[in-house]
Amino acid sequence: MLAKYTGIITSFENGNLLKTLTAHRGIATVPIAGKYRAIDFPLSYMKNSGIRNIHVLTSKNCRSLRNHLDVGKSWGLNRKNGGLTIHSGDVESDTELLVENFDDLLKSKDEMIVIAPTYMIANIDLDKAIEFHDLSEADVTLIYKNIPEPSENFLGCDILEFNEKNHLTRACANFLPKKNQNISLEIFLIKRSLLMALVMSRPHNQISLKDIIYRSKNNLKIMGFEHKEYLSSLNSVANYFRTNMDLINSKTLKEIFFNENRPIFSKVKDSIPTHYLSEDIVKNSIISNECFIKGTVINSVLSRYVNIEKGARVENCIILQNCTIKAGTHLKNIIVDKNVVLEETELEGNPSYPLVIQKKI
Amino acid sequence: MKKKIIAMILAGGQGSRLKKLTKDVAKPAVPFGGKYKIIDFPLSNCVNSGIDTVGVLVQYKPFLLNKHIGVGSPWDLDVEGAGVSILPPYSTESENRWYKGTADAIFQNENYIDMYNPEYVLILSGDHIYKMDYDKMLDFHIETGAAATVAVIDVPLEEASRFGIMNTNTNGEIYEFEEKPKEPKSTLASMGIYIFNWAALKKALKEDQQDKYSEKDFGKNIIPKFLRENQKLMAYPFAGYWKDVGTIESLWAANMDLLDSSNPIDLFDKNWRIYSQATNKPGHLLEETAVIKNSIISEGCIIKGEVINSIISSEVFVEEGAKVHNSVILAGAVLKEGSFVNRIILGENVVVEKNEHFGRKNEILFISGGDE
Repeated sequence: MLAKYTGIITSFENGNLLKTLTAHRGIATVPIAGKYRAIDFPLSYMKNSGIRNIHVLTSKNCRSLRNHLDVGKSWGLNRKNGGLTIHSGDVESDTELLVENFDDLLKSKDEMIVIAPTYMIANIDLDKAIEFHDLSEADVTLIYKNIPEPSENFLGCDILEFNEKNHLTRACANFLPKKNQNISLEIFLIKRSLLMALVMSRPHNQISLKDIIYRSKNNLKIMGFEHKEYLSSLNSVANYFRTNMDLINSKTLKEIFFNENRPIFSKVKDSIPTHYLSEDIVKNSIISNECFIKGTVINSVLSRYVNIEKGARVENCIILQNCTIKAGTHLKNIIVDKNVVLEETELEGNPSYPLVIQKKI
Repeated sequence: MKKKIIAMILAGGQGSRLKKLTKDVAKPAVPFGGKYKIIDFPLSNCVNSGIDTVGVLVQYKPFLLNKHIGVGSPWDLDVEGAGVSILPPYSTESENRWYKGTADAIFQNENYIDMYNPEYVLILSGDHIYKMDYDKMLDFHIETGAAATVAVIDVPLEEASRFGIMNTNTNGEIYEFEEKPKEPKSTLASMGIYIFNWAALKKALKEDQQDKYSEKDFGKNIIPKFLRENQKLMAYPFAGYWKDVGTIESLWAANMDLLDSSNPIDLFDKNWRIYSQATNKPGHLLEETAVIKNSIISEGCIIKGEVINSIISSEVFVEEGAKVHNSVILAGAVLKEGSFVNRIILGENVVVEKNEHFGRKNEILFISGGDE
């Protein structure tokens, strides 16, 4: 597909969902699978679909995001025309921010818009969704995933109902897991002029872009496109923990990261392959580059520059970058935020309520 | 534009002793240490030494090297008014020219060098593993007032006859150069790293072109010519890790050196990074059945088997029950269930079939795809 679409990535999720993990960063930049950040997913699937204009809408506190995105080089978005634009401001919603920056959006020739959030972890085949949109003649295409068995993993997400013609009839928050729920990925394909019209007639400034689109369901033809691959939502610490644990599985990992046509890109760093000096057990784990492993690592995800020293043991843990776990430290069901050094400590959390060791500043 | 110094990396060599490993790539593009290519070392050394203009002379099968270097962004060499340029041989109105020797390659790119009008030119070869601050060598070159400076390393006497040996007086001034001497008078081996005053080199290259018996080689012709003309030639002593990985055995051994955490090449040194292309794959996945001991593992690998004393490059799959011992596995290779390799270099994307075994006690094997 040649560029006809502009991407809008909106990162206005409630940051409190991830507690201290998002004290110094938005959900957009929480680490996933060691070296990735949540926003790498929408950026990559948009890039993989040939999108060259991407606008990121975010709230005030976006130092971490700006730092990660830089000029967008890692996603091929450092373009002379278009490329990556980050909008932030003291606003009440992504809608208000979009209205403030409409001029920027109108600079491009792209007549279509794809909107995506950052807290849904999935590798979307956007080309297929676009093809579906073109053929269906829908006003809006909305991407969802059907979850056949009741699952706590999507509590608080939006659930969707479609009629027999696949037209959206209902969208509401998920408070009770049931069989066969359609979880909204909050990814919308919509004509730019239509989005503008909807946004201009917004009832108030607090309303989010997704709600503006949902509430127009009776006036517009909003159709569903199903994403059939992996999906996870980063809407709680437990789900953040589980998402990372889900990836310690070659089938899931391959599905997301080894698709030849849809690679996931992240900010390029110069890191060195990991060195194992251990005689201890290291298994069932994702280990990023430039770690030094001399201790025991089981069922864990390690970001870059992590040192597991001799006599340390981590099990069911997520260790973010630049941490050192020293001798005599035993960790279980723990998320250790970046730059932390732990020594002679025994800590155990619960997988449903994993303990978070806060980032050292 | 006036530059103080620019670097020219000779990267056209086939490295024929590496046999099938260089069937499709030039020696500088040979993989090393899980994620690097040999040329990453001189390129990174240049950047870390503050040299921002680098010409890479290619000739033998340059495609992968070209792709690897690209516009030079991993080395921050994608800059205006400087940067990295790939310099293949080219044709002119009168002839089609190949690089006939290392000196000829530089001679033919005289215009490229003149474009930057440098005072000094650093000549490097693209096939050694080492970390070196060329800026210190340049200071030495300027201080001693030499016309040319050759970096030398002390080698054991019994190995000296394998190298080009520089015989120096007590000041470090070179008075004689002997290529692979049977009875070496000194143990200072040329590292193939030269700094020349560009004006002096330019003149020498031009004159050398007239000499029809010249092999147009720096070691064999240009250095002896400087000596004949009594130009001041200094030896710059280098102490540190320096490996010519010219054979399968030495390439394997240099990789194994990385497993020794006290090895002097120390890739983890934050003050002297070796840069390379990055993958877009996640860290590696070790599954339930994985056993890892004293090894280096790169991004995108999925390991279910046993890896001991080995270097695993990116996107390698080691299936359950497969064993990798004392080996270097290049990117994209697959070791199927029950396979066993010991003391080998496994080529890129090679699949070792179920229960297949490779390895010999007294020889390092290179296993390439298909015709092995």
